[in-house]
Amino acid sequence: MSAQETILDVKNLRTLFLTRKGIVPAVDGISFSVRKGKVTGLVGESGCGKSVTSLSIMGLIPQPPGKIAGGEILFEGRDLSKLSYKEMCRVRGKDISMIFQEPMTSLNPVKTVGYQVGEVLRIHQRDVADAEVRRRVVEMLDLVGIPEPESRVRAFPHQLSGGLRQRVMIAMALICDPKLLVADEPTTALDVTIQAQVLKLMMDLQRRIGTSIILITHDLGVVAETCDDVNVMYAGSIVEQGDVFNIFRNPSHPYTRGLLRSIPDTGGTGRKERLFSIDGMVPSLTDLPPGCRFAPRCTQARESCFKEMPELVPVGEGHFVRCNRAREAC
Amino acid sequence: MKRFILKRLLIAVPVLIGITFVIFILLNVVPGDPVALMMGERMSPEIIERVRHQMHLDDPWPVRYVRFLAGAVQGDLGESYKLQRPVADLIVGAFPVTLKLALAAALVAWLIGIPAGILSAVKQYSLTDNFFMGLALTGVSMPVFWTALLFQYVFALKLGWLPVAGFYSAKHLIMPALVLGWSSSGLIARLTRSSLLDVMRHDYIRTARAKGLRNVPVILRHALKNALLPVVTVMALQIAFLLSGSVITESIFNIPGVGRIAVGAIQNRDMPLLQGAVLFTTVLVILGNLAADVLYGWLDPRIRYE
Amino acid sequence: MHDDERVSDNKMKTPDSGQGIAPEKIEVKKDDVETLFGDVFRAFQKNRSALVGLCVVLFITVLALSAPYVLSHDPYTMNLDNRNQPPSEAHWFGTDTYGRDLMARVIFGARISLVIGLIPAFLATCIGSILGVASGFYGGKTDFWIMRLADVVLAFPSLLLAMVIMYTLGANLFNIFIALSIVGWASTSRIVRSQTLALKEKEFVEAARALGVKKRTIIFRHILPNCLPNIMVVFTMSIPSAIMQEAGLSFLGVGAQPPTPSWGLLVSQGKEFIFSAPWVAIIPGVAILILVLAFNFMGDGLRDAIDPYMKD
Ligand SMILES: Nc1ncnc2c1ncn2[C@@H]1O[C@H](COP(=O)(O)OP(=O)(O)OP(=O)(O)O)[C@@H](O)[C@H]1O
Ligand code: SF4
Ligand SMILES: [Mg+2]
Repeated sequence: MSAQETILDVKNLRTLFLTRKGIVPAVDGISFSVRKGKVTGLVGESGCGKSVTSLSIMGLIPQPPGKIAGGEILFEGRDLSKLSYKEMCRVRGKDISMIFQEPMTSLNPVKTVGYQVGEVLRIHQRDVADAEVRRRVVEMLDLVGIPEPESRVRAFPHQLSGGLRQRVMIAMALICDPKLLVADEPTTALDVTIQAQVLKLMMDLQRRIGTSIILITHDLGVVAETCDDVNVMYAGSIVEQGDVFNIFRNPSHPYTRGLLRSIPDTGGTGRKERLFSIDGMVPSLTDLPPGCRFAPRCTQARESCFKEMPELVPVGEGHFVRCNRAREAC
Repeated sequence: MKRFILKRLLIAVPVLIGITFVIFILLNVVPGDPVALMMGERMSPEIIERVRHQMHLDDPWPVRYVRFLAGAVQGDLGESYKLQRPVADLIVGAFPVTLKLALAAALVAWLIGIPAGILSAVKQYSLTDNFFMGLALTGVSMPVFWTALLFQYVFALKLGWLPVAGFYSAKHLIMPALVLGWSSSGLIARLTRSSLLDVMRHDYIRTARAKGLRNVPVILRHALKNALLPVVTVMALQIAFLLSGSVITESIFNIPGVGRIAVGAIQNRDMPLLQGAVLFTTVLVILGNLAADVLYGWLDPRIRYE
Repeated sequence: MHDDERVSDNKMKTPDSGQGIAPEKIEVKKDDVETLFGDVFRAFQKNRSALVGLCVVLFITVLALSAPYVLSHDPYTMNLDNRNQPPSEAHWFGTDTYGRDLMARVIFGARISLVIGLIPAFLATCIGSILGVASGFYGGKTDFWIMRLADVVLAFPSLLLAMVIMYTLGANLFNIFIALSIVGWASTSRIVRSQTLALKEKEFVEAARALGVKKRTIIFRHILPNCLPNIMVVFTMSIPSAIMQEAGLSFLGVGAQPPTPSWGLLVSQGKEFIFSAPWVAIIPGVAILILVLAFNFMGDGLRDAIDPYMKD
C-alpha cells in the first residue's frame, strides 16, 4: 500500500477459537493497514472472519474460547495485543471505538440512552461536570440526526427504532473524537431506506471529524461508494487487497470477480438480503482444504490449486492477490 | 404498566379460587366425623346429628363451599374446634411473628446468596466458583430441621451465644432466621450466578467494554441490574419456600407463628384451624408473587413504559 | 480435459457433501463453545462430581439392599438397658432412645428414602410429562385447564399442600407416594409443555402433521422421545426433593409412623435428646444430606451434559 501515513497496521494476525469441534482459525494470518483519515473496507461472505478481526483489534475477543495466537496490531506504533488490560481500557472508546452489527441488542435495555452515551465521556474524562456531559450528549445526539435530542436522552433503547438505535451507537462511538472507528456492518440489520441514511451520516461525520474508519460489510455497493482501500476476505484470510479503483477496475482474484458479478445492476446500495451467489459453500474452518481455500468453488481451479496454498503476491501498484493464476491473463 | 398489573391480577383470581376449592375439597372429604371427634366418642348419635345440623355440616358440599368462600371473603374462617376461638383471630395474631421470621430469613438468604453468586459468576470455573457452588448445593441439600438442630447444638449448647428456642426477644430471632435463610441462600446463589453469566453474554455488555469500561463497573453498572431481574421473580418463589420452611422452623424453635398453628392443628385434627392457616399462607404466597411481578415490571423499563 | 472433469465433479459435490460444519452452523452453537482445555477439564470435573454422586447413590443402594444380611443388629429390637448410648465398637452409630442400634436403623432408613425418592418422583414425572405434552400439543381448552391446575398446585407452598393431603389421607408410606406425586407433577408439566411447543414448530413434526399422521403417533414417536433427555433431568432432580419432603413430613409427624426407621422420623425422635445424645438426631440427618447431595450432583451433571445452558 502507498507509503502514506498509516494509523493502524495489522501484521500477520491470527485469532483462534478453541472449541469442542477443534481449533477454529477464524482469522488466519491477515495483514492490512489503515491510512490516516481514510476508509478501509473489509469485505467477504458471512463467517469469513470480519467481526473476529474487528474484535481482535478492540481486544474484545471472548476469552476462554478465543485467543489471539500471533501477529501484531500496531496502532500509532503501539502493539495493542501487548497492552495491559488497563492500558487497553484507556484506548477503547477514546482512541478506537466500535459500532456493532446488532443495533437492537447492543444497547443496555435498562439504562437511558443519555446515560449510555454520556458514560463514554465520564470514563475517559473523569472530571467533566454533569451539566457538561448532558450538553455534549444532547449535542451529539443532534449531530447524528436524532430528532428532539433533549427529550430523547431520557428514552430507553426499546423506545427507539433500529435506525435511531444505530444512530445512538454512532453518537456513542464518536463522542470522544476517536482516531479510528471500527464499523462492523453498521447498516446490515437496518431497513433498506434507513441504510443509506445511516451510511451517509457516517461519511459526513467522517469528513468533518477526520476519523479513520474500518468499514466492514459484505455489500460491495457500499464499498464502492465509501471506501478508499479494500480488503477482500475469504475463510479467514485476505485474498485480494488494494485501493478501490484496483479492486473494481481490475479485480484479479476469482472470488472478487464472483462477488462483483453477483452485484445486481441496480447499483448496489439499498438491498438487505445477502447478495453472493457463488456456487458452493464456505469451507469449514476446522477442516480447511490443504491448497487454496477457494479451490472447491473456483471455476478456474487447476490441480495444483488443491495442493499448494497460494501466497499474497503483488499484481500491480499496491494491489495484492492470493491466487496461483493471478498473473495469467484471464 | 397498568395493563401489565391488571393482567397479573386477572391471572391471580382463578388461582385464588382454585386454591380455595382444593383446600375445601381436601379438608372436607376427610374421613372421620369432626363433630364426633370434637364431642367425644360416647355422645349419642342423635345429639351428634343435631350438632351437625346446627353447624350446617349436613348440607351438600357445594352449598358448604359457597358458604366457606363467602365467609373467607369477609374474614370469617370459622371457629377452631380445639381452642374454641375464631380462626381468623388466631392467625392474625400469629402472622406478625411469621412475617418477622420470613423477612429476617430472606435478608440472610440475600446477604449470603447474592454476593456468593456474583463472585462465582465473575470467577467462573475457578476454585472460588467451585467452592461456592459446592457450598450452595450442600445448603440446598441440608434438611431445614436438621440444620436447626445442628445450630441449636452448636450455638446454644456448645457456644452458649444464643437462646435455644422460644420467641421473646430479637436475640431469639437470630438462630431461626439464620437456619431458614441459609437453607434458601444456596438457591439464590445458584440463580444469581447463572443469571449473571447469562447476562454477561449479551451484546450490550460487549458494548460497555468497547467504551473502555473496566470489568467491575461493567458488572455493577450494566450486568447486575439485568441479572437480578429474574432473581426478583424467584424472590416470589422464595416466599413460598420460606413459608414452607417456617412451618418446620417454627415448630422446632417453638415460635408462635402461623406455621406452628398449622402443625398444631394437624396434631389436634382441628380442621377449621388447619384450613384457615393453609388458606392464609397460600393467599400470602400468591400476593407475594403478585408483588414480585409488579416489582419486576417496575424495575424493567421495557415493561414500565409499555 | 481430464483435469476439468475432476474439478467440476468436485464443485458439484461441495454444496451437499458438507460433512464439515458450515460456519453458520457453528455460529448457532456459539454459546456452548468453551475452550478445548477448559472444556475437557470441565467435562471431567462435572462428570467427576456427577460420578461421585452416582457412586454414592449406588453404594447406599447396595447397602440398603444387603442390610438384612450384613447387619448384626436388628433395627427394631429394643433394649431399654441400652438407651441413648454413644457410638461404640458394638454400635458404630450408638443407640437410640429405645436402645435400638442406630446404624441398623439408618441403613434400613435408606430403603425408605430410596423408595420414597424414586416412586413419587417417577409418578410425578410421568403424570407431569403426559399432561405437559397434552397441554402443549393439543393447546386450546386442554392447555388452558391443565395449566390453570398447574398454577393452582404451584401456588401452594409444597410442604403445606403435602401436609394437608397427608392429613386427609392419613399418615402412612403409601399415602406419601400419592401426596408427593400430586405436589410434584406441576413443575414437570410446565417444562415438558414448553418443550413440546418448541418441538411442534420443528419441520419433522410439521411434516408428519401435513402427512396426516395420527396425533397420538406424533406424540409418542416424535415429541416424547425428543423431550426424553429433559424429562430425565427433571426426574433426577425431583428425586432429592421428594426425599427432602418425605423427611420433612415424617419429621412433623404426618409422614412415616414409628417404628418405621424413616430418616426424618429418626431425627425427630432424636431431637428431644439433642443436648444429651446429639448423635441420635445428627447421624440420620447426615445420611439425608449425603443422599440428597449425591442425587443433586447427579442431576446437575446430567443437566450440564444434556444442555450446558439450560436455565436453573
Ligand atoms: N465465540 C466464538 N467461538 C467459536 N467460533 C467463533 C466465535 N466467534 C466467531 N467464531 C467463528 O469465527 C468465524 C468468523 O466469524 P465472524 O463473526 O468474524 O464472521 P463475519 O465475517 O463477521 O460474518 P457475518 O457477516 O455473519 O458477521 C466463524 O466461522 C465463526 O464460526
Ligand atoms: S489459486 Fe486456484 S483455486 Fe485458488 S482462486 Fe486462484 S485459481 Fe482459484
Ligand atoms: Mg460479523
